[in-house]
Amino acid sequence: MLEVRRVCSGYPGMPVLFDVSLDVQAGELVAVLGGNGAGKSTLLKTILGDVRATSGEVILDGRPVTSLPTHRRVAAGISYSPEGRRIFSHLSTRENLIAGSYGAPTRKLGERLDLVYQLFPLLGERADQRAGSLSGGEQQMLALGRALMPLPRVLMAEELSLGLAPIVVTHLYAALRALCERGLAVIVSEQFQRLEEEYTDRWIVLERGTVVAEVGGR
Amino acid sequence: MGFVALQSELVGPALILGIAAAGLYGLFAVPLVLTYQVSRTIGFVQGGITLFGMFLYWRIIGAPISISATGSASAVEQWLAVVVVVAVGAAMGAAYGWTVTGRLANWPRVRLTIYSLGWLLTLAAAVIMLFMTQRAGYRSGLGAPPRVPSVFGPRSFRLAGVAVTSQQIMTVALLGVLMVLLTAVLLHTRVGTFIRAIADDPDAGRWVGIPLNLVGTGVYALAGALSALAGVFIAATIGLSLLGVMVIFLRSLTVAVVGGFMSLPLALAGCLVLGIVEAVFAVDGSLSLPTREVLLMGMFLLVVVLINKVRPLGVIEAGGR
Repeated sequence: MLEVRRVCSGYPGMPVLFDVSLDVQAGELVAVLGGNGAGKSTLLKTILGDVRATSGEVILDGRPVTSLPTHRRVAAGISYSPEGRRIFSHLSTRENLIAGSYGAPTRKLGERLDLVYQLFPLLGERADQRAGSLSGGEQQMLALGRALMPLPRVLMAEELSLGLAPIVVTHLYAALRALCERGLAVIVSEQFQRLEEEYTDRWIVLERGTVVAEVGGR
Repeated sequence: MGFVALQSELVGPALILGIAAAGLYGLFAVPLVLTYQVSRTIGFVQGGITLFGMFLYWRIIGAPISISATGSASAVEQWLAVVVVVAVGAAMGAAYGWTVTGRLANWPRVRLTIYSLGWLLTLAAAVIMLFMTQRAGYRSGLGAPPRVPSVFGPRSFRLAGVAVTSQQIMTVALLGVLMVLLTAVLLHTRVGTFIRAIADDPDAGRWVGIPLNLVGTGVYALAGALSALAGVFIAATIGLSLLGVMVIFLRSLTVAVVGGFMSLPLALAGCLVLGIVEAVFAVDGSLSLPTREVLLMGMFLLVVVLINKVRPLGVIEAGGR
């Protein structure tokens, strides 16, 4: 479904990724592991189109998307939940979800909101609450829910477990697993190998911008 | 009379004059707040678009420069000129917005603000070069700046003993309608949600698939149209005065700070307070003009300092965006 072919990318004067390749199939949950500065965030942002690939290709469903801007990649089916959640703290929970629905027909909005509320019922209960006042776990659910609003084919979640209680992390991974069962391809990036073994199908390890290991999961 | 102790019979006139002045400040404050939301830079360029719109309107209607502000253009011609000026303002705003929310979006905010200031000065220079020449029919001189006829006609009314022109009434009315409409759009539509999301966190807005460039260009186009319209209104109120526009614009910047450049209601409340206090000073008449200016700006600086004490992160929280 998603293929990253020998991608090099980085920031002006600071190359970060070197010949990184990765593929994720529908229904698969792949973890990208690595310490600080390993290039996990850059990899996900390169797939999203937020960081320009200097060489290599990003292919979605057989079509190269490397030259597309971020909003068109999101529309094509690549979605992203950033590190630190980055929810819109002054907007309500519902408004945060709507913010993730650009391009969706208005008549489908209710349907998509229901889909997210089914997955995370707490968000439905907190629909009118200001997002900034949600707990860390609820904010992470919101960030994931917002990334699900465009009905992506590939969902990327960065540092999902950072700063969260183990029980919340378990709940989030179970939700991601449920999404995989419905055919979604999921990529999570984490610093440490914790629940990944239990919930992921495969994981790759990044070190200084290169893939140093690729291991099968469950 | 004591220090600005207003007699009761002067309260009404001060209020009326204050509200009328607030209308002009508000016409600037609205575009400033809107453009700040999508680009996090202070939209000095809006002042330039206002100047350009003001002189363009004057040239299109071919109005003779006269203190009495009676022109030869018919009402239909005047309204057509307004449409053209608003369209030109929207195009200028869109062009500027396309660059600052596109190719220049990653520039540091300070550099973008200076870029905006540069465009204000460039447009002011263009106005001087294109319009403020004898060949274009502009004659400078001492005294009150020449006015152009109002699209709402020369009629005036007496309210609380003060003569108020139809132009002033319509300015305040337009601002009221704009306030209601924009608030409704921002709070109750998807487009409004996208704009507020960008205002909250532009990076996250981009990551969730909102095309910042497109939304930003649309907002800048609207702001440009409003700024150009402000030029038409100011021309009919204070006249073709480059300095006058700058003074109103800089004061609007001050009141926009009250709302942290993010809250329309707070910015407009600031306009109202500024207008009324200014009118109280004027009606009272016991203070010289320079003293009034120092007091007025001192008061606003104090308000900004107090806001900073109460809410160090700005008054965004209080804005109820």
